[in-house]
Amino acid sequence: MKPSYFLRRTAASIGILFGVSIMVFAAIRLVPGDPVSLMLGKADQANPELVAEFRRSYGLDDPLPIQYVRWVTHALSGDFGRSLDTRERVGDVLQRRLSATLVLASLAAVIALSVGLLWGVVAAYARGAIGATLRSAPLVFMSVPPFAYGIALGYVLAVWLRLLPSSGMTSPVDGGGALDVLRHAVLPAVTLAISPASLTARITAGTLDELRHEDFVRTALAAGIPERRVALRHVLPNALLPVVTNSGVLVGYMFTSAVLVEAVFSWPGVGTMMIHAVENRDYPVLQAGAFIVASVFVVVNWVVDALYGIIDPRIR
Amino acid sequence: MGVSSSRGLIVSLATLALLIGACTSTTATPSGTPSGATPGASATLKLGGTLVFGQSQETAGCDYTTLVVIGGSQLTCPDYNQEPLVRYDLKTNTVVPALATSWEEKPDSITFRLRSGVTFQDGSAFNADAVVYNFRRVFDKTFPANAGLTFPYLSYVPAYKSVTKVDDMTVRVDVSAAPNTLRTFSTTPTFIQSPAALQAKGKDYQLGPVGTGPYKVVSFEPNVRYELTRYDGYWGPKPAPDRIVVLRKTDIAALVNDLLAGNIDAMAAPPASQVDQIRAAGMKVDFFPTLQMNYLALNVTRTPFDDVRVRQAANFAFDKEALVQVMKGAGAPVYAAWFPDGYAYNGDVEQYKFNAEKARQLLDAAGWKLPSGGKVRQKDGKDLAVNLVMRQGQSGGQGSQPTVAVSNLQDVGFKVDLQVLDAAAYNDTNTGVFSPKCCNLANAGHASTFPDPFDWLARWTTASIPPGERNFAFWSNKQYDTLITSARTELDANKRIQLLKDAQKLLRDEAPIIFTGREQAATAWNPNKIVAIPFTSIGSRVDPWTIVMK
Repeated sequence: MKPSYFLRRTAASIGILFGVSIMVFAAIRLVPGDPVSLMLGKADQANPELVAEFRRSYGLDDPLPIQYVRWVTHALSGDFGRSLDTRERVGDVLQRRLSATLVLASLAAVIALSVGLLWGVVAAYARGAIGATLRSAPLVFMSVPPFAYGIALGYVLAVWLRLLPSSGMTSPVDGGGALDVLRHAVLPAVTLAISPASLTARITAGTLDELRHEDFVRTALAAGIPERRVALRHVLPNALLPVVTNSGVLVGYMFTSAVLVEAVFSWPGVGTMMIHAVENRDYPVLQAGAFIVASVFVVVNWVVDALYGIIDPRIR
Repeated sequence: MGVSSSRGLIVSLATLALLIGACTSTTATPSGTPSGATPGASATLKLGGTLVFGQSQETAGCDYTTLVVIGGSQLTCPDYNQEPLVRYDLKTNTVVPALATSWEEKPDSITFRLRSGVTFQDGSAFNADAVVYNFRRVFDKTFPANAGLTFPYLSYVPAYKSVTKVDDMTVRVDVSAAPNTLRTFSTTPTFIQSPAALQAKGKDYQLGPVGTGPYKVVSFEPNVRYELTRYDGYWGPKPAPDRIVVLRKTDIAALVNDLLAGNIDAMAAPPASQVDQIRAAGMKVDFFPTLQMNYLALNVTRTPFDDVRVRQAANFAFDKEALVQVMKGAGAPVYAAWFPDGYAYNGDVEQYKFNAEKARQLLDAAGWKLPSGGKVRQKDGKDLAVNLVMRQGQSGGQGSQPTVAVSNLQDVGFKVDLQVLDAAAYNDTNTGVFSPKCCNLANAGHASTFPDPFDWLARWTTASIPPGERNFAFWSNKQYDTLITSARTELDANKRIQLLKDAQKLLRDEAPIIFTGREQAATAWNPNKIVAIPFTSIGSRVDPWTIVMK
């Protein structure tokens, strides 16, 4: 594989991240609402002197370019500043919240890919009403917003049947073990996985349908190779290409949908952190959060591009 | 439309609004005063057990001096960890001892005798040096520990000038002459914390504060969870729970689910729309009065509320009983400029009881006539059209009153456009309620620190007009300003009461706001775990010593 391919992709990724940092920095300042007036307004203390003192203390009265350069300089050394709301180090908040979202998103991704692939394969090869149902079901699942599943699943499994915790990441008292976190993650992860599993199933079934009519499949069958072996050894590996491509989009979906799903299940991840930061115009948290989410998205897509290059030599 | 059918519609619409508004609770009560439930009141409590409490209010930090959004009607971390020199007993309207056992008041100073045998939770001694360090850290900009910090509630102690150590257990605070100065030393800027811990923890102090209070902070994750454990070295009587875990979830419906599923033992501010469901599941719900006045500010700089008759009409048109019905007991009606059972209340003014007919007459007199067959009044070819702005997430009575107002005002011939803004847009100085260009009606509330109408009445002076303050009516009246200025400095209690009563009459007559109701705080709890968990005060806090475990 040519190194120039990776260099090009890497340079593009860095450029994208730089653009994202400017966009995020500018966009949140274009939205009406000053963080200090808002914060002190909530406290009924928004008199001009106090607002000015807070703004000075937080470095918000400097010109925007200076604020941006200061933020980038510090961010490059791993210092994202402190939250305007809680005064915590943003790095600490991000580490905690990103870990929570990664737990949720990883579990959801495993569910989505494994269920989606299996579903797609069965739908492609099943006949009759079962096959038709399995093929059309993804559209139904994809057309319902994830939080609707979340509310319904939560009420039935947590409040009514009391099989799983209704919300949160750990039990209120003495929680935090791996099993405890897993129990709490089941409902939000399943909720988060339903749409991408449906999409994966649809892509897999559609690709398998196309591949089954390709010349190399007919040739293999004509040579007397059993259909199951043709499917497993020849058709399925080729069907994985669009699924791998789609996994990059899937990661993006996981993070964006996590905003809603985390809110429904009070999951203390990046999603709920960002909602709170937007509501409070908490610039340092918002900038760092958006930048990190964009970075994850860019890195995953870089990996997907690289894998794609390995799987399909034509695009190198 | 008849009164009963109108109320039915209002109740339905407002119930819908409650369901939407219940998602978050952002009522902020910037009071640091404890409820008046002083230590010692519950010496016979059964000790032990863990209380798991859920709330929707932000839990950003646990240092009372720097915390910006304190949160009303909730279990507030610093109340359990830190203490002031004196407390204000809201039931008796008197100052009572806390970390100071006695005091001597002079016009220009207060000398506090400190409680002996008190230690901070880190083992360090509480003494005059600690008090001087704390007061200088908060009030003295030349003090090194003050540098880089911001203290949002300094205005609560306006008379403070300086502090001096007299001996190891005595401090003198120099103050400017003003009425009711002593009680201000019960508010948030004066809560005492360990100087050693403050120095050691630096900017991360608010996540693990060390006070003299009955609970130590075990862990604190902002806006998610914090855990407290009882401090065995506490000088006073022990509160009941050994351990307290507070979960913060923005979705209040999730907290209701937690309560019903047994994941939490109690919660703050259950939504009125779910009170019946919670009670049907065998849980208890109770309501407690607060010092929060809810209102709709009428922008007097713009038509039609530049006419006092239209403002009075809006007041007569608003049905307070309908609002209370919607709130299922979580609110109490207010018919004039202060709480009917409040200190210095003027009951000799005509009250704004619901009277749609009188509202119509006033509008007719103001020239706003109903065209034949029309529903919206007109004057000089213009509709009687107004816009009402509320903040997303306003809950309780404050969250419900816009819907009631829209229905009531439309009934008497207004055309009302209801706009819901997010918190930042609502508070924006150029486009939000702080700007006279924003809207005709601003939906808001005001939580007083003390059961005294001064703070509330002072909100409507010329000096309180935005952007600096919150006179969202932009109303200015010289006679009213004089009354408030005089009350601010009047040391004679009876003369001050008369000034406050005169101000109430003027405010009622000029009607720059629609007086709507008094917020009630609520808790819901599992009776299998807890006997009682009241908001003991009109200051809307759950106090440690009033929690009774099963």
